[in-house]
Amino acid sequence: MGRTPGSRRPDITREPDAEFWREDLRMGQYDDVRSARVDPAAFRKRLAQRITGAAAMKVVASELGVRKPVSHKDLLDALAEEATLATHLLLVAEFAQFKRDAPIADVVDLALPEAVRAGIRSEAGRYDRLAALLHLYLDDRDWLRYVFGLNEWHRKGSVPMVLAGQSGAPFRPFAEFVRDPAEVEHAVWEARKRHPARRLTFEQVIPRDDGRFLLVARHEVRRDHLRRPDDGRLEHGYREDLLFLHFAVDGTAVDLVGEPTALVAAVADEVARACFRSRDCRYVPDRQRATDEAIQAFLRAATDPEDPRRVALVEVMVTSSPLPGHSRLLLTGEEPAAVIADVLHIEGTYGSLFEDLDAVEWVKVLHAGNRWRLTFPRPGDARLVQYMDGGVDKRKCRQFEAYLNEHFGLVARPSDKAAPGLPAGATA
Amino acid sequence: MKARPAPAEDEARIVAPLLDDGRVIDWPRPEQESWLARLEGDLGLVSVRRTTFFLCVDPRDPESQVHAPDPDCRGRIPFDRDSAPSDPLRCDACGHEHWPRERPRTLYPRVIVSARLASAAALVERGVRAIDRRARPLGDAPAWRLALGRKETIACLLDGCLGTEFETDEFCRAHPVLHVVAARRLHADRMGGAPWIRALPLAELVVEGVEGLRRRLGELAGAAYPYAAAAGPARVHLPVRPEHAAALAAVRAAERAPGPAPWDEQYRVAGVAVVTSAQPRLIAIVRHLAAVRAEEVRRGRGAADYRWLSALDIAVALDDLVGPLRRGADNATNEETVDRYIRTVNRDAHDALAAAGREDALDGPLIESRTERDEEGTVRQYALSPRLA
Ligand SMILES: [Zn+2]
Ligand SMILES: [Zn+2]
Ligand SMILES: [Zn+2]
Ligand SMILES: [Zn+2]
Repeated sequence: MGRTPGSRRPDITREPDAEFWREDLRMGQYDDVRSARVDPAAFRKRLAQRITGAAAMKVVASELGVRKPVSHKDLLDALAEEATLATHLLLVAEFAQFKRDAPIADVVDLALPEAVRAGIRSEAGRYDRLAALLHLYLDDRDWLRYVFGLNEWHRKGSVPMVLAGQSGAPFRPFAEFVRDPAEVEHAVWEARKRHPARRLTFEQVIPRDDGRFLLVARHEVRRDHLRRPDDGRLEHGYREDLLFLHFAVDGTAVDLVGEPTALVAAVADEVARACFRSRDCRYVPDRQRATDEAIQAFLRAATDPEDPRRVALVEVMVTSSPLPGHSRLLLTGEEPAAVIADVLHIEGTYGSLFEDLDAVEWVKVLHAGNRWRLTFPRPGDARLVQYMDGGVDKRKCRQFEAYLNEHFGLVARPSDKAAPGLPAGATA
Repeated sequence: MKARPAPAEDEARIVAPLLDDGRVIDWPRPEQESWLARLEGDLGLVSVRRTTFFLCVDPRDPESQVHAPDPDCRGRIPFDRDSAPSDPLRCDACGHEHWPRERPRTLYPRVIVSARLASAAALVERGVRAIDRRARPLGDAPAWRLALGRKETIACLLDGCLGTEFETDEFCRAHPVLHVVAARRLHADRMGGAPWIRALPLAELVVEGVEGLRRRLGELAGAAYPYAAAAGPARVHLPVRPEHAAALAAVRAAERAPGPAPWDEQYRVAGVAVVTSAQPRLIAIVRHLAAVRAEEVRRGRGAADYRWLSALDIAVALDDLVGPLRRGADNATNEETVDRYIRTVNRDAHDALAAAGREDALDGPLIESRTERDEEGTVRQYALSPRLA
C-alpha cells in the first residue's frame, strides 16, 4: 500500500470493488447502494437526493459523454439507465456525507491540476465537496483513501511531541526513511511487540503539502458489540481506530493523534529508534513556556474592542472572581462585544479577572470564526498555553498557532492532557 | 389589600429587556415581537438581528437523542443556514459534533438586540420639546433645561451624560434633574434611593410617552430643591465609576467601526508592508517618527544628531493626531501604552520582514529605543531605525 496514487482510473464498466468500499473506506452503505437498484424509482430518487450541484453535474455529463447542454433532470435520467456507472458515482456521493472541507481540500490540492481545481472552486475559495470527490475518484480511487484518513486526522485532537535522546545524524534521511513502507512496517511491528495485546497494522503514509509525512496505522482497540453497517444487527468484533503520526521533515518533532497516546508514541519511538539507530530515542511532550506578561497582553488585546489584532474574548471561567464573595464565575456569550463589555465592567468595578492566571480555568476566544478554548496550566514552574483542538481541522489549528505566535509571541500547543506519562493535573 | 398593577407597568416590564444592549431572546413571544417591531421600526431605539439555533438534544429530532453523548444536554447551537460553513458545529456545552446540513435539524428563532443611544437621546428630546417648545440644550450632552409651569427642571439621558456634571451627586442635590436611564442594569443604583436622585427607565418613557415624562418632571418641580448636604439621608447609590464610561465607550467604538479593518493602511520597508494593522495609533506612531526623521534630514542633520522622542512626547503627538489614548482596564499610563504599542510595531515589523524573507532590510528593531538620564531619573526614548532613510 505504499503506492502514491495518481491517474489509475477505476474501471467504471465493472461493479465497484466491495473490499475497497467496505473495508478501506468503511462504507457500510455499499450493499445498500447496490441493492437499491432493484427498485428503479427509489434508485432514481436517491440519485437526485445525493448528486446535486452544477459542478457535480458536469462530471456526470462528461462521464456519460453528453456534450450539449442538458437539464440536470435529463442527466440524472440518463445516469439511472447506466446502473453500474451510477452505482460508482452514488457511492462517492454517499462517501461525501459527513466529510469535512479540510481533508478534501488537502487531497484536491495534492492531486488535481489547477485547471480542474478552478472549475470546482466557489467564490469563497472552497471546493464543491461532491465534485471534488468525483474528480478524485475518477482520477484514482486511492485518493479517497487519503481523504478518509485525513478526515479522521483533522477531526481528532493531537498531542505535540519532540524528539529527545538522539545523538548524531540518522543513518538515512528521515524524510526518505519514513516514506519507505518496509521500514515503517517494521517499526510498527516493533511497537506491536511491546504492546502484544494490540492489534496494530500499518495502513499508509500520506504526503502533506508542507513536505511532512503523515503515517497512518490501524488499531483494533477492543472486543465490542458492533452494529453491522448494512443491516444494523449486532455482532462481536473489534472496534477499530486509526492512529496518526505527523512527523516533522527531520523527525525531530511529531504530532500524535489517536488513543491511547502511549501506543501512538510507542510507534513514533520505534520509527525514530530505527532511523537514528539509537535505543535512547524517544518523544517527549513539547512544552513551550510562556510568560504571564505575554499571556496577559494577549488577554488585554482580546478584551479591547479597539485593538487591531482580530481576536475577541467570548468566554472566561475563573475559580475566584474579583466580586465580593470571590465565587467561581463563568462569563459567556456569542457576541464578543457583549462579553467584553461585561469583562470591562467587572474589571473596572471590582478588579482584574486575569491578574492571577492560576485562577483562570479557561478562556474562549473567537478567531477566524472558531471558538478556541485556551488554558494556561503551570506544571512545575513553566507556564504553558494550550488549546483544545478536537473538532477543528488541522489547517485552522496551524493558522491559529501562527497567529498567536506572530501577534503575541505565544507558542500555543494543543492540550497535552493525553500525553503519555502525564495524567491530568500532573506536574512535570 | 393588594393593588392590581397598572397595565402600563406590565407593558414596561415587557419592554425593558428588549432595550438591553446585547440581549439575546430565544423563542420571542408574540407580544415581544410586536414591541420589537415598534422599538426598531417606529422609534429606532434598537436594531434587531434575527438568526436561528437548534438544540443539541431535541425531542423533535429523534436522531439527536440517539447520538448524544449527554442525553440531557441543554446546549443551544447557533446556526444560520445561509451563512454557516459546511463543516460540523460543536456544542459548546457537551462538545458533541453536529452536521445540521447532512442531518437537518429543527431550527428555532433567536433575536439579538443592540441598543442605539442616539435614538434614545432623540426620544428624550422629542418628549422635552413636546412639554416645552423653548427647552434649551445644555452643552453637548443629551440634557435639556425646560420650564414646567413656573419651575425650571432638567431632563437628561443619563447614559449620554457619564462624566458630566449632570450625573454628580452635588449637581443632583442642587437642581431638579430627571435621569432617563437606558442601560437599566448598569445604573440600577439610580432607581429609588436618595430623594434627589430621580430616574425614569427608558422602557417607562416608551410605554407612558410624553405624559409619563410630564408627570415625573412635575413631581420634581414640586420637590424641595436644593437638598441640603447634611439634611439628606446617607448616600445610597454607588459612587460614580468612570470605568463604566470607558467600558461603554469601548463598546461604542466597536459599534462605530463595523466590517473589515482598513488593511490598506500600511507602512512599508523594502517594499514589505510592515505595519498593516487596523490600529490607527500604530500607524500614527510610525508616521510621526518618520515625519520627525524627515524634518531632521531636511535640516541636514546626521544620524548621530537625530532627535529621540520620549514616550510622553509620542503620547502627546498621538493625542493631536488620533485623539486621546484610552485608559484600558489595566490602568496603564499613557507612557506605558505607548511602550506597548511600540513593542507591537517592532514585533509586527520583524514578523512581516521575516515572512517575506527580507530580514536583511533591517538589522534591528523598526523603532529603536535608548535609556537617557534626566533630572527625574531615567527615561526611555525612541527613534526610527537610523538605517531607514
Ligand atoms: Zn456479547
Ligand atoms: Zn450525533
Ligand atoms: Zn450538547
Ligand atoms: Zn502582526
